[in-house]
Amino acid sequence: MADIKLSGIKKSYGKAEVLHGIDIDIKDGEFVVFVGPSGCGKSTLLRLIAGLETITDGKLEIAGETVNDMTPSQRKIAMVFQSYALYPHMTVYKNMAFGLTLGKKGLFGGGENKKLIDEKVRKAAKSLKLEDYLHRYPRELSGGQRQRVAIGRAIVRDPNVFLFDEPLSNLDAALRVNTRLEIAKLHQDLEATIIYVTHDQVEAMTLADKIVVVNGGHVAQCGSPLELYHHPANKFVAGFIGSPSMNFLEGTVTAVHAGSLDVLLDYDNSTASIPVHPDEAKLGDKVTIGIRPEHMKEGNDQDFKLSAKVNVVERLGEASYLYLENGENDPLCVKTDGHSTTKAGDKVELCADFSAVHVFNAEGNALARTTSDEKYIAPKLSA
Amino acid sequence: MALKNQRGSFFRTHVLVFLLPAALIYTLFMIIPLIDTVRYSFYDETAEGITSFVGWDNYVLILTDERWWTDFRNALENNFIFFIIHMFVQNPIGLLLAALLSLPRLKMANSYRTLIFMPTMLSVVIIGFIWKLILSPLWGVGDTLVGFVGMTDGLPALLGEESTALITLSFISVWQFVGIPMMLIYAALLNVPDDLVDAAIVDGANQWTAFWRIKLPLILPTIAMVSVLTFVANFNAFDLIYAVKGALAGPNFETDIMGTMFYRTFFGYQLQPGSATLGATVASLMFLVILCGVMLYLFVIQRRLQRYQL
Amino acid sequence: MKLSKRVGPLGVHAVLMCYTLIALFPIYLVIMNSFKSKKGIFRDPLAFPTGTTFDLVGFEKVIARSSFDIYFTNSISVTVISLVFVLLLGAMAAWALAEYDFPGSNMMALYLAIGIMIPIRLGSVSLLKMIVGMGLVNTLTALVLVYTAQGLPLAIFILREFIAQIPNDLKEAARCDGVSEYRIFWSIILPLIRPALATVAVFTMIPIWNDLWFPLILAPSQETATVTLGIQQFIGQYVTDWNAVLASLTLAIVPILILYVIFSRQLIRGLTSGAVK
Repeated sequence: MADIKLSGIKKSYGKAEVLHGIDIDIKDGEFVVFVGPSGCGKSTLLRLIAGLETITDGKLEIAGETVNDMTPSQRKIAMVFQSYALYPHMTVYKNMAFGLTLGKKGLFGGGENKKLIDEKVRKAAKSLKLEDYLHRYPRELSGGQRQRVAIGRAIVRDPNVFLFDEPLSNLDAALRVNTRLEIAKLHQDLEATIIYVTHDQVEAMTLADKIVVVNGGHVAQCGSPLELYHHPANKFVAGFIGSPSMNFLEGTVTAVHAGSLDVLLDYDNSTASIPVHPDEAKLGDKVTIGIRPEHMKEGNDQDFKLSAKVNVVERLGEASYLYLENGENDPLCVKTDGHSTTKAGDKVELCADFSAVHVFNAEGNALARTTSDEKYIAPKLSA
Repeated sequence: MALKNQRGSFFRTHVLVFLLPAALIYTLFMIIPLIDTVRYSFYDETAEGITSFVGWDNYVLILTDERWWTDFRNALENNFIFFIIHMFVQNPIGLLLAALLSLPRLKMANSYRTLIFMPTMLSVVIIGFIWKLILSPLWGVGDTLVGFVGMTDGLPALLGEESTALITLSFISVWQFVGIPMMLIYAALLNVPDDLVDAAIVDGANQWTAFWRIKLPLILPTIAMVSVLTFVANFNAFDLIYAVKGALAGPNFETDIMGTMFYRTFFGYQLQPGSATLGATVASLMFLVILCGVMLYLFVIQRRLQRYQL
Repeated sequence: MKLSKRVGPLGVHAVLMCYTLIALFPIYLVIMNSFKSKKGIFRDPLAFPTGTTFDLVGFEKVIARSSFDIYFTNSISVTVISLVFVLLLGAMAAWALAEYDFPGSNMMALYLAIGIMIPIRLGSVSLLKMIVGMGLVNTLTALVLVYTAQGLPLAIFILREFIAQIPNDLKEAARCDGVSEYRIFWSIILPLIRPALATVAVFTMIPIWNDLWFPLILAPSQETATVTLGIQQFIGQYVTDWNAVLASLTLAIVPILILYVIFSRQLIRGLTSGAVK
């Protein structure tokens, strides 16, 4: 097992730079998820760690050793591909054993001895419930089984690090939830370092010890799931994590105090005094206020208040979503009680606690909150 | 793949309209001539054009008459040599070039591909003449060229010597047509998903191992198809020999293959008059040889090769 | 790894460059020497034409003694007309086989596929008699008919696979709108299979343009000779006149090379599209 350290990793294809200096520290045994929209560079980052692409600049260390120039197998990593990449002309058994038969000795032979290979393959097959399928070909397996073979192929190699590239995206919804649980359990059993790439923030939230949000070739934020949820460092992370996504309201700074900002909201021309560190905020600065749908409620008993007209109501049973009139912009969303009687067309009073209100400056960076009653402190999961 | 639609199970006019023209031309100018040629091989024809049924006489003549059989066996053997050289020189070179071209992120791959394929585009006749000039002792460009690689004795008359003429012609043909196996194999290699090679690399393979153990097994069906195409194409290899050596396929019939023998039998040469019926017999025998090869491919080789869903 | 990382790509380029040179050098040599005087050709065949060796005498002879213009016209007409027939009739038949389920449709497909493997040349004896009987000897029509028959099997095979992949919804939608089968073929199917048609066009065109056999036996006259046959006859006649021989070869090569350079991207895409597996 090993920790991984990325320092100033850059990647360019010709003149186009796709990763602009990535710094990440991954501790031994950690489950790290790279998440971001498609094309953000997260898969490229994974391939750089795997050794499938060459690093243009920066340093990659695994277990304290610089591995920039090492082949994937020298790095002792194993990878599960999005397409599973099972060799179609080999049985499940041979697929899993393939990596072990490749030794340094020769082209076609070498590798570890047959008995040892057999032992490892059968052990992995047993833990993945693949024993009955060892002599089948990939085409004779279901999607979930193929997925397990791909994982098995990684396990038998007993790697320092497991890399997963969107492993669930080819499965149907029901199977996806199941497999997600299996992967979480696998992590517990193996106590291995896992790097997992996905574009699905739910997968990221449920699996990760640590999430790395990647956007446009930069790390947008890196932290535990709840840290990212409660303390997004910028507007991008705020909007990306959480479903339905955070509501954003544009506003202008009308007064700067020591521990708060007065903001005139474009939405209803009301002014709110929000307790955040003003940093360098000046009078007249444009800012964005962010509140998650689940942190707003009907009523006016909390500090942040808003009145709005309801356009659409979606009733899910346990909760109802109110979609509010918002001119040309995307409608605002409020998650309210399933018993709410609010109908489309109603005027409603809404409120939220200041501790759930985020303020982002014109560059999209969050201003630190100064509320004393900080409710949402991320629990320390990893020691 | 389901090619059939469930629409309608009875014959309708528009089906006929769509199908008939192609079927008609194909039948009239391909199938009927082929069958009729076989039928014709059982007849004899006098100079006045009167035909009579002679049974297996023509076949017996070609396969037992000493002069005919010597010719026929010679042509068949030469054709076989021609095929072997293509199979074991042209196709491996094609495979090698395709494998190199399909390496990931190879710069200028498109230019190489385009340029290497260029000779394949030209007519066999033109290629034949080009090489005839280059190898001609009169010009001497061949001597100059081999001089560069240290052969000071000059280039022997490769096309003129009995021992080298056929091999030389085979290599000219290999030189021209190497683009075809290259392209077909290249296309097949492109269809092998990159992920499979990546997975093999992660598993500890290098590009070389990944090629032999992952890519090559997956493109075996294409290689089998290339082989059978090579086999059939041999019997079309009349143009080159006719252009370079004429219908007599000299020196001393050393470059005679089935195609040229068929031509001579049909149209005659020097003192021997042409015979349509004997020509038909030679064609039928060629037909038989091709059929054996194709059948071998269809019923033995192709069935054994699993085509993998990629 | 470090070693192979550096040597690998260099080695690959060396091999490919070497082979590219082998592939192009003979062609280059012929073209270059065709612009030289006889002395220049023999004294230093590898040298580029210079002020003293540059000479167009070969081309003058070829133009004076042969009818290359006629050969080109013949080759182009035969190739283009055959191509149109193969593509149109082939697409029609492929559509019928892929779309309509009629008794014996599978047998029909198999019957039409036989011609892919069996060279039409084997039927030459009977074909010649037939063409003589129809009075078509020494006409381009004879060549067009034979080449159409020759090109159809592969065309139908490739196009049928391609048409079968067209989503049913498209045709069903048209049928619901009351569009006739002919119009569906002409206005929906034909435009959709354009990429496959391009592939088929390449496969059909090259063998027709380059063929020597059928022009030789069916239409050997001066008026109907194609470029391939024309050049074969011309060189046979003037084999000792190196200027003329080289110039005639250059005249036959250059147009094809120009066309190839223009269309190579499309052509190679067609070849590698995987339509033929």
